[in-house]
Amino acid sequence: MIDVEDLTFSYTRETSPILKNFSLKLVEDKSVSIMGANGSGKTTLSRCLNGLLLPESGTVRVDGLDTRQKDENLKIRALVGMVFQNPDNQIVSTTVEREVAFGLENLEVPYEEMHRRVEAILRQFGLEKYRHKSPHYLSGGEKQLLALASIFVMSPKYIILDEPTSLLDPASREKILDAVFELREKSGIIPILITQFPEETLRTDRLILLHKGKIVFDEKPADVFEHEKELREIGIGVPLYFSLKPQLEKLHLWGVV
Amino acid sequence: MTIRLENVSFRYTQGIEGFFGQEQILQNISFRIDSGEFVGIVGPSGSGKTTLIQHFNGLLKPVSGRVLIDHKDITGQKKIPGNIRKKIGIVFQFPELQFFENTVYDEVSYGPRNLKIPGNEIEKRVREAFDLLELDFEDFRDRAPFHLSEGQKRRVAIASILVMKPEVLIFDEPTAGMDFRGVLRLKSFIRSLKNSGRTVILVSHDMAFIAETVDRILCLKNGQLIFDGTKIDFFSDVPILQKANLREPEIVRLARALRQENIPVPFSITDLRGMKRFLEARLKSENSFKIR
Repeated sequence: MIDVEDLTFSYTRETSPILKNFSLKLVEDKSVSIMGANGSGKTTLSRCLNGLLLPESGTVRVDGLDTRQKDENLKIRALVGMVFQNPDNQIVSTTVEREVAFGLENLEVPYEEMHRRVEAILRQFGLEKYRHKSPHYLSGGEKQLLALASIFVMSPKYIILDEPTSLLDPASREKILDAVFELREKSGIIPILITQFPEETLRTDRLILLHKGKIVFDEKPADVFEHEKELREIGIGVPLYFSLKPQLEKLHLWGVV
Repeated sequence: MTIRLENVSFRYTQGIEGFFGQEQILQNISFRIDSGEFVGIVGPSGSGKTTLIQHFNGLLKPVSGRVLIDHKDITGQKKIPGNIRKKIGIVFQFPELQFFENTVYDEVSYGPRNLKIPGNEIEKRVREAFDLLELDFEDFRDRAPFHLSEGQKRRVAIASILVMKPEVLIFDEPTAGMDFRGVLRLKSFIRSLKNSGRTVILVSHDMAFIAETVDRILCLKNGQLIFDGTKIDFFSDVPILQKANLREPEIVRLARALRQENIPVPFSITDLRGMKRFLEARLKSENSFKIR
């Protein structure tokens, strides 16, 4: 469980806090998505969850480990994998293959096993043809795939996906999400999906909606999207089918098409 | 301003072939975009879209084939005439990669300053661009570009292109990471550009966005042009969509499902507003039928 208690965070003393007295519990048996307008605090929250940012006051505990405890840092990072919005922020190696192996090398995984895991991931993400190439020569979308692959390979317990698919074509986007939710089935990984695509949240059990650093909805995604009017006021769209629900219902087509 | 490509092929230079393999990024591409057109460029990740648009203003040069701007061949020219860069503006995927000034004002005015346009004219243009993008002039002029939110950065990047008064505007994945309200605002802004007679070219994976904006679609796959035609033809061509790793926009999928339920949705409906209007009209006629 990730337990956020009374968290307050601001980037500088002069500006008002992005998150103020914020509490949230993320439990093992529920996948989560987080939505909110640009600037609502999504990315800040996600960086507090793995200790990249530390609370000004309040606590964040990952499976009981306090993120402010310096010596727990490595353990927390291994538990909570994170894929960033902009892949250039996380790619460090000179070839695609090395990039995928980088995290495993740091964890001192034995060579044979590392080799096997890197191979499997390269194949799963369709990156094997680029293995010896420099990540610089990949397109924006392919870099996003690589960034995901290099986190996936470490098999974290929680995985934070911060708009990981914004530059991908729709089929690759589905492929990524399929991979995430397949892993959920197989190994129980807990996805925390930050997204601007309302359709994508329908795959998760729980949708948390942020507005100005506060939780305004925390329910099953389909239940949240019943509130189209309120959502629009805070700059959130609903999946297309939900916008047409009144008309489709009256025509007795809701659930049919 | 017309942009014409004749049998354009491209790969990154010979010297690094060893690193990058032998493959062509673009293969034998030909088409023409006329003044005032509204075009979407789509295709899977890595299909060559960004490489293609960099040929439109001479940022990249083809290995073979020709690029003609207003019937003038720019392929062989060592130096691309300045007015081509001025008239064909590109807003790239990651706006922060193009920032380098300390304040938003300096960033946006950089292009016109370089062209030695008088200061009062520059300020006038910057204000106009800010207005169009709903950036408050007094609030934003002295802010640091790197400290803005993603959506604001994107708008500043667009403003810095707009002040050059380009005739052709190219946007590379403009909706990536943008929230719902930002996308709505961008949509109406892009439509207003189009209505002012400018050529607008959008590179995007966001099929709903494409469906609600452009008229014509160019689709790339593995560096080849596999479709060039109207938006309506493109979205009804399921095999092509699959080939290009794309999905029908939700609205097109819904229209198809409705047709299977014997509700004749016209093929021209590709956006939410049109669909809502159609369903409302259908409801009305059903109700009046019942009364009779």
